[in-house]
Amino acid sequence: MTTAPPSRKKRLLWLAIPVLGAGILYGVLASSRASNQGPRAPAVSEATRPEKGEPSRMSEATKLSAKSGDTEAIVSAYAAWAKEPSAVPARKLLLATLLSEQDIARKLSSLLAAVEADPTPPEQDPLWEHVVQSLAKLWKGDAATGGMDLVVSEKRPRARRALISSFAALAGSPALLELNGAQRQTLTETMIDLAWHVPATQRHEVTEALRKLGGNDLADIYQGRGVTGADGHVLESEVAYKAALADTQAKVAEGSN
Amino acid sequence: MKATTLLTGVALGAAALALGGGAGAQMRDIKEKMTLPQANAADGIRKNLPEQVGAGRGNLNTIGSSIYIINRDPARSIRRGRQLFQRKFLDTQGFSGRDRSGNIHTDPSIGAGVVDSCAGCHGRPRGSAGFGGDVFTRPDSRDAPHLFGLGLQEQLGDEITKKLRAIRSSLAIGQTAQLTVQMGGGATINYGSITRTGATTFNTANVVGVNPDLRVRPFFAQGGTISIREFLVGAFNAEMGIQGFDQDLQNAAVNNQSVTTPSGMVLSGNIDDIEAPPVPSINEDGDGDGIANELPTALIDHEEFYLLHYFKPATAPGSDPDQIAEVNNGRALFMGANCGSCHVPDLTIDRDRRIADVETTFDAAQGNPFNRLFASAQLFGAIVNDFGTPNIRTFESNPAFADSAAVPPRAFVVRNIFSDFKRHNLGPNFFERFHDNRTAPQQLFMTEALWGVGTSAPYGHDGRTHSIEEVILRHGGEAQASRDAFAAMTRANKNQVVAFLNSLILFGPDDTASNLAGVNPNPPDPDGGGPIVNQGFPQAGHGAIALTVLFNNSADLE
Repeated sequence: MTTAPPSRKKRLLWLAIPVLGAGILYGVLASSRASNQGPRAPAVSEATRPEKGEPSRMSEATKLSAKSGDTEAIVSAYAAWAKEPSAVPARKLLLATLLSEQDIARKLSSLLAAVEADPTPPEQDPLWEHVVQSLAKLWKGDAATGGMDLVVSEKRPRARRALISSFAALAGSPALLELNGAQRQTLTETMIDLAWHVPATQRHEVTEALRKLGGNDLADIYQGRGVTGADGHVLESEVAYKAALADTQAKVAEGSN
Repeated sequence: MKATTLLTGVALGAAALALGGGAGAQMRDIKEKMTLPQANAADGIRKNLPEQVGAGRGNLNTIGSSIYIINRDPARSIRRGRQLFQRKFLDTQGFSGRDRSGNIHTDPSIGAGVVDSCAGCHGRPRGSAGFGGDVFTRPDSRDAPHLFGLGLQEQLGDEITKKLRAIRSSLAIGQTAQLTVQMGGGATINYGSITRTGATTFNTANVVGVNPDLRVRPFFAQGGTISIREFLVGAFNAEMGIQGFDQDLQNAAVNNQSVTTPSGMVLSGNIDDIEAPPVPSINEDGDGDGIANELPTALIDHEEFYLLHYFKPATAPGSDPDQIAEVNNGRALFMGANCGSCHVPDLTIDRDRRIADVETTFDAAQGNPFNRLFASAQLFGAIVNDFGTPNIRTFESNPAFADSAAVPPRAFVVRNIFSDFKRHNLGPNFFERFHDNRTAPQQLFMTEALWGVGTSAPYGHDGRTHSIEEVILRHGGEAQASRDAFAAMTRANKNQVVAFLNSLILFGPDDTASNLAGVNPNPPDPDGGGPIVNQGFPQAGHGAIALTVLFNNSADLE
């Protein structure tokens, strides 16, 4: 018996999140498994334990996390507290609550809603890297396939940027090898297609992702190097092409003598 | 509610081969050739034309009707549409006989040749609704395009239209807006700008790439037709001399009504110019050949449903790391040359009307020796019993009829299509003359979707260009800068661009292994005996995209 490769199986589960907005498709998206389970309130870890001088936000966050099903309130609080530097641990707890959701579609929907609602420029966001790495850890198996479709279909700028960064992070991590061949190829194609549409501040990480996924040539081409030969940069593929050509010519010459 | 049902666990391999049967392009139905000695029952269409018509259009409770089958046994409808597409029509069934008199300038279709099967023009690779014909004759010729992904194109055109019109509707009097739509992957498509000048009036002077009515028409090189249904009814008439009366088209085109076809396409005759059927009633013999109702509505329904679901093209970057790198580099060079500004790689459909998708990729391990591709079919819903009998089932989440709150909209990312659904001027090298040699030739053409381009030479709407490299260099006009960027690349880089485009391919469904029928080197005899005599692998057991296993009754073959 043959089965569908896992790479594309659950694509549809993902797309409605950005296209149709959070919540619209929830009944469908979450139905396949654990659909009625809300997020489990995470234990307050060392990283998220209230610090002295900020009891109110943390206690609020703890209460919100205890009512784990109310993701709208969590998302709102996460965004509303973004201007308060002291609220970072509390906001991290809120993220942890969203990430504790068992259903991957629900988890992504609320997480990306929170990311989008936060008005802080990513470069100034103390939790940005945490968000990116948290997303990157989700990209395994079918979730990776769905996530790659999310990258394409997500139109909200901040959520979209976080998704792209998360896959760029994945490309540079050992977890890349956990994707199957078809998934790695799709990720490479996706990164190539997106590369020309990312903001300038994101180009470096995309360049490095392309290098990891497709080698130095891919990164160089993205940077406009070695395309025409006029810039003096020679792509590795150009070297190989000319070497193969020279080798063939030598063999032909040898055969004709 | 179930959102997705995968086709894993389906009875595969040998059973599919036995039940699905072999098939090729342009088939006769076996009941027409039973007088032939040793006719192979596995090598033709099992139902004759009246059986394909069945109980007519009917309704959800009319067993054997097109509405019933589309909604309760959808894989059968798709298969029936396919068999109709491959059918070689006979004179006695209305084929040919079309009156070709008239003004070829005002009705260029009368210059069309005559072919006895849809597959006569759309038949390569073997058994597919592919490319290969040149029937609709203009002075400069028109190549028949492949029909892979046709339903996705119809839906994309329709959704882009809705988005453009939503922008228009949002305008206050005196207000101007850019007609820009976001289509996924960060790409936007801009159709110029529009200004509201009154309650119902607009200045459309700056609208580009689409008619002033903002209706994207994805079909034909010049962007002339909105829907699959119009396209197929028109082609049956123009290319095959078969006139079908269709009440849906009649209601939309002539009675200016808004009509939803059985495949879920809304024909807004109250807003759009819809093409009328070639005859105004089932009693009209349009070509005077003594036969009326040559294409009953039920057949149009099945054909539309089939084409809505027609497979996307495949991607085949290969398995050799050097080859994959070449393809990926070529893709990046293509994007870097800004080819992707019109040939947009990936687009998103907000609400997919199809019941299934087929993803086909290079897979040396699971593919067969013919093409080393493997297709994975995936249903978007579940077939459930609604009346408690095996033969009366309904397709849960089938959007064709159940567009209710209980059936949510669904999105789909269309990858590797490479089009922007917009008309462009590519310079005089692409202009097309009309029959009267007017001084103003056809100058605007829809961006050709590049999926499948690796297996559909020759190129250009007119088939005048023999290779991918030459057709790139043929570009001018709006694409001049991209063309020049390609021309300036090193030889090795040009080769990589071509390698990338050659990885976008078509495939024959009968010759492509799938999760419906995988490779099985030892298939059983369809008659229940031992191994098939004189048919060793891969002539037998190579797998196929065989829908038969999904029928309510797999023993009732199409």
